[in-house]
Amino acid sequence: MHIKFNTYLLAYALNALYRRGFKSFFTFLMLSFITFLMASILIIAHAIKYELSLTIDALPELTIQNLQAGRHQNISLEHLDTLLDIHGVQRAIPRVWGFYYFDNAGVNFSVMGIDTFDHQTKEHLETMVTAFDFEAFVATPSMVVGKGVQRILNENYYKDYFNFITTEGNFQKVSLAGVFDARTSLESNDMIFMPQEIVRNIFGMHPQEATDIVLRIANKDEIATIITKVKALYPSSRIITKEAMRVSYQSIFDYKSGIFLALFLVCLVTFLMIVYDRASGLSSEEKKEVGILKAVGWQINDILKEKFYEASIIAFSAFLCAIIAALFFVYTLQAPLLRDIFTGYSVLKPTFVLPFVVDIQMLSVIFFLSVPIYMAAVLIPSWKTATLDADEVMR
Amino acid sequence: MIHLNTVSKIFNAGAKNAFCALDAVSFEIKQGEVVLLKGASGSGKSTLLSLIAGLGKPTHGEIVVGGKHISKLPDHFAALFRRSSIGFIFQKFNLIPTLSVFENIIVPLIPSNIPEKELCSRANSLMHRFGIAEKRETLIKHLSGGEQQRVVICRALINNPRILLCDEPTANLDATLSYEFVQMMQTLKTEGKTIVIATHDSLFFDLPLIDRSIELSKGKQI
Amino acid sequence: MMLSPDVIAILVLDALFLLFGTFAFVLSLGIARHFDAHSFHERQYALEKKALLVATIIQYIFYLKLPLFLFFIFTSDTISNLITGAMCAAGVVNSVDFGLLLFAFKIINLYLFGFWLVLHTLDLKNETLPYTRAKFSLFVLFFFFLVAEIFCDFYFFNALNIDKIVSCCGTLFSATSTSSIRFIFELPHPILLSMFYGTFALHVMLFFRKDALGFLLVNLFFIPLSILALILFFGTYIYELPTHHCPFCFLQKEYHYVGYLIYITLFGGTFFGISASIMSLADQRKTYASFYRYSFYLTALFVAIVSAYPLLYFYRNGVWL
Repeated sequence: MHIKFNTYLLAYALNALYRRGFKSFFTFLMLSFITFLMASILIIAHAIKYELSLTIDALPELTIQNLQAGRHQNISLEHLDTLLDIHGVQRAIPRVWGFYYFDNAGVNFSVMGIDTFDHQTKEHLETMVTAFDFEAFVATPSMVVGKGVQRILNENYYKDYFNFITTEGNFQKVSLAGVFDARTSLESNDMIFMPQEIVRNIFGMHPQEATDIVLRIANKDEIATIITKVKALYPSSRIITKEAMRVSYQSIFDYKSGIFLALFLVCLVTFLMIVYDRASGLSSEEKKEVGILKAVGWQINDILKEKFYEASIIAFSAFLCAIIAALFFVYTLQAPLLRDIFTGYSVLKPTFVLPFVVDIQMLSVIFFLSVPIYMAAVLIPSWKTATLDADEVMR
Repeated sequence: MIHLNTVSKIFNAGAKNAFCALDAVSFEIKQGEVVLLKGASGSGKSTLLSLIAGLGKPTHGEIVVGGKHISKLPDHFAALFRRSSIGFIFQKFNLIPTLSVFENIIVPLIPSNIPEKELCSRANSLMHRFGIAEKRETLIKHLSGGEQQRVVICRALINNPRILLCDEPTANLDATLSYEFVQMMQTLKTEGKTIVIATHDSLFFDLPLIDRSIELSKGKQI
Repeated sequence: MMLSPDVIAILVLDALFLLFGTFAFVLSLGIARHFDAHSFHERQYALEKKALLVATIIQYIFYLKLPLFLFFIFTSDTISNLITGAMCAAGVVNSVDFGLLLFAFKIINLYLFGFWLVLHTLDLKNETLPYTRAKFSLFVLFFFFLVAEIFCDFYFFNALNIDKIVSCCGTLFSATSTSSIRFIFELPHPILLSMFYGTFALHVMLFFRKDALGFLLVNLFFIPLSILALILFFGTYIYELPTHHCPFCFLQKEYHYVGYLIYITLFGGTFFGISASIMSLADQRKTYASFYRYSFYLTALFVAIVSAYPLLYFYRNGVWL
């Protein structure tokens, strides 16, 4: 019950590890490596989740899409006034956007239309619109692009402009007016902003249509009522709430990291079998040592405590090393190989930088799945060692 | 001080390979006595020493040491008893090779977690007394046999025990060092320690140091 | 089923507890039946060694359960973001029928395992090992509590459904007619507070008198009373809202995680108090002053923290809520 810290015992345990040099080092290395793998996966998942949550935070409360035969269709702007008449709807903003596939580089750009007269759907769009003169962009077609887009255009020798191919097969030349920097790179690296008229022209959309309509709602409690009203007005529409997106993203990522964690646990169990096995097989040297200790007056509990100190030294140092290595691997090296598992589409999208997030909860998960489990693996072998008969030493 | 009453120890009792290491041994050793435990190797001397120290339990009989029924003591308390009352000197030194002289000497004190000051002063005075103070930080593997023997004695005395149990103490020593060992035992005797020396080394047989001899042969007292 | 990393971590450790617990249970059965400190039989020596293994396993489980319990609350708090309607752990816990039962089990098990370890320490102080049979018989009983908790844990995470809308703590801990614990809200504050501070005063008095039996009863009574006082009175000052009574929300970041401190001091203080009393009752020769002292310090700290909230509120605003 009373666990008093004993520095001599700690020094003794360190020396005991040193004495068994290779055996201890091997265990330390394996445990570090496995913990490192798990930590990397969790840190990547966590960073992407964080990135997504920032993106989702910026989304409007409700997005209304038009469905036809279950597929997304453009929505008519006639609906705008009707939607605005619903009580509680602060604003209804039509959005014109789509994906443009750039054949030469094999990437998709997200093209977003900006209506300078209307309110913007996101805060950072608002700042961008004030920074650039979008009204002038209509007369001389121009665009503002994300960093990833700029890089790809440069690689393909488009320095000042880009030729979009419209649905009719014509060229639409758009000059590059500037580059913007957003808070989260996952969402906006592949973004291109230009006036709505030009977007409609490139995608061949009717001037009285939009891709979807987003609603700003002042009071969150009214969302449910508003959804039922919209649903009654337009039975064919699909209404996406911010909350639903957040929950589905979070559970998708939890699920994904959960599956990898399950795989990881298989590794861990295999490793622990090895640890158990190695810890159980005692050399005659170790048996003799236990004999000496008992002869000079150590209790079984003291030997158990010493073994506990040894295991703690290995487990905690492996945990720390693994965390540091994983942080370095993920944030400095940008997690080669591993992050593709989570992003999946990163091949199609321009690269992005993982945001730095470390929180106690994530560290606790890594801790609980490494340190105590290692301790558990050595618990019974330690007891076996500690209860050896001391006669060995007398022979 | 040490009281044995028809003590028997049978290893693997009941099994086919049962082996009787001690058979109805009884004797008494008084406080301050130096007793020689004679016998060829395999006669049960080591087993007897480990029973006195509470390292093992007898199959029959009773052992009382310093008023404590060692044979009845659960392991947990037998260890505490060893810690406070018994010093062990082994045949093969049984030191820990990767620890320094000082660290080896304090091994028995580690579990008690006593303050550093007291621990150091106890170890230092012993090292001075047995002339190994200048080797304090040397690793055991770099020491000569005689120096190792002194370390063993220091380790046995660090708890200030009343009883010293020596198991073939001179087996690994040459004549000069063996004589030196006898000298050290002599001083310890004058301090009133009870000493049991298990050996078949004839050097000890006619020493004035020895008060009494007990001879064992194939587990039986002669 | 929630398959997030935190839930997996909890379930993996639960599985480990179950494995070790079962092993310890089987060994305990043998020890409880055959242990005899006076026996010279080989079996007795083997049992003594096994007893140490069981004790080690129980220590392992207990010392891991402490941080894991905090982590469980923390996780429940995080999950509350996912579950519609839940604002804090209270909503999550109540989203399944046996949620509160699970919580109770977790706390009770921590107490039980803690007491077991106290008994174990006490047992190892006496050469005749007087409590060995008793403590292993007790573990045989405690094991069922552990199993119940682990199964509750499993079903809890299994039953959590992110599509289900649950009540938030605002409705669970409110004085409105639908609340199941409505009747306690009818207890007037002056009576409640005088009981609370009265019990604390008694605690202090018995601490100085080292009256084991009285100390035991006071500590036992102090746990539910304090929780009640937190819900009815002190909580509202932490939130500075007269209508918010939730005993879970103040575990959140918005309140600087003060809840962890509050509960650790409350449960720690009473645990040491009860342990000190039980030990003194079992072994009349000693007083176990250190445990009495821990109990006193932690409880005093608890009272100081919760009292600080209403006092500061009054100091700043000049009125009571």
